[in-house]
Amino acid sequence: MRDVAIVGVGMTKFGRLSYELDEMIAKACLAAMDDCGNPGIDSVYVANMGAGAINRQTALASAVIDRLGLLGKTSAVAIENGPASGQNAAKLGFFEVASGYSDCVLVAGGERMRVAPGGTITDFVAMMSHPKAEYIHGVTLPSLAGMFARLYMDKYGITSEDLANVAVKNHANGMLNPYAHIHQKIALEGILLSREAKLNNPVIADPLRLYDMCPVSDGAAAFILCPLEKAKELCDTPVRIAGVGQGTDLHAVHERPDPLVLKSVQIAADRAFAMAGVERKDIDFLELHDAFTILEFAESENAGFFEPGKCATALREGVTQIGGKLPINPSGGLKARGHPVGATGAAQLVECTWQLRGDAGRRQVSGAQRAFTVNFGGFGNNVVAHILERGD
Amino acid sequence: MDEERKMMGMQCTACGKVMYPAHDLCTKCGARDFKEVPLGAEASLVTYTVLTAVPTGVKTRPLVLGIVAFDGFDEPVRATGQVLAKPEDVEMGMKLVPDWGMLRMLGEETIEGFRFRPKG
Repeated sequence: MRDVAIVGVGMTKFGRLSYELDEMIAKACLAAMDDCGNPGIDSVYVANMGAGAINRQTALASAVIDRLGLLGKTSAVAIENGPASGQNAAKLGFFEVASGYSDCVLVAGGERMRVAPGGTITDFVAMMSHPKAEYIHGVTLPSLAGMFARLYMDKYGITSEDLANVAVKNHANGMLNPYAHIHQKIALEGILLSREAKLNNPVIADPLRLYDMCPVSDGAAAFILCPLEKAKELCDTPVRIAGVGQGTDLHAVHERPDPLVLKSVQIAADRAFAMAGVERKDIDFLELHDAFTILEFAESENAGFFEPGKCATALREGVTQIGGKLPINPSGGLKARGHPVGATGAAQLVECTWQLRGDAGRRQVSGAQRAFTVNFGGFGNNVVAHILERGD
Repeated sequence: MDEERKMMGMQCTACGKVMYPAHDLCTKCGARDFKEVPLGAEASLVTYTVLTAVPTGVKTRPLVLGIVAFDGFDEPVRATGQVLAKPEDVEMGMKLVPDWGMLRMLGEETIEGFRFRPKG
């Protein structure tokens, strides 16, 4: 296999966007192409979850390459694998370049969700739960997170304040990210401790409140993959994909022997680390899939960075802040950057690339050499992880 | 309510593992033959949430959703479902019994299934 690197990245701002879905994705692709001098593209992967259900558009990759004029010999494939679509598309692009079949692959992810009412979006996302054992009972992703959080808090003595600390940190990081959906500084006082907190931060899926959940966002992100050897001609600081892993688990959460164990995260992380030949201690920061605050704890622990139940302590001690020993979600995470579901995995890799190049501006993790990221599909039944490192 | 209706799972005829919902291969040993078995009349609440943002087609708001574990199995046999109790009366470990009825609407279609109500 050839070494593979990210040579160009681009993103739209996340939030409420007026662009059509394919237009939004094309904008991110153009930004990625411009970022590395418009190399010839052999193949395009487009990650998306809801185009058919929300935007009345199918075969999205064909629409995107038409906008970009990448026709003829350029192949185009749309990837739908729930909220893990983005890093799944990255994985396929990686192997296409690593195998030598293609020299330059464009990977994009995009989602346009704000055009539909909130209830429709909640239901659309809930359709990825088990159709017979979960979905028809009224299960939604927030409800699965709520049930998980109650068990977790009970077992490890974690409090609502610990969860709120994740939101406070990620909102603070998001303030430093011009691409983030949410630019709102929050404090424990306003979302938990004061008399107004109940109004500011109502319970949605007890024990989880509004500020324990990511927003519904529009947005797109894209990057370009090349062999590492060629990458050095296209950009100053190629970012090498050192490891890729994927793990799956039982669909219905209640069937898992211990519902608090995210086996898919463990497997994806172990595989990525084995491939990269590095240890947890060699990682400088994490970009995790904090669709719910509780997942920042559960993913970092299941991926092997903390003992079970200990990430909350690390957060209180400042370990996971930008400037701490192991920053988590310097981008603001899904909590503040936003969560256009099909775009998230791509946006995580774009953020890792900016950080590793030293291009992350005021949210820069100083001296970052190597990153680990998790893209969490379903409620952990299909998870992809990547390890990225500076390739210079 | 249909008093005769029982909540059923699938038991692997090779290793005895009881599964809910059904799989095509046993999740423990990979065998393909199953028999239908009752999951039992009583269960304990493992965890729950009180959902205020209920999905389209669900009439109860807030909706209590829980994971229950059926009594009488060595390896846990669990199910996810609606808990027919006031949020303030729900607690982990409480005893519940399956109860057949309407779950939600999906478009024009009424979906029925088992919910769980407090025992007694």
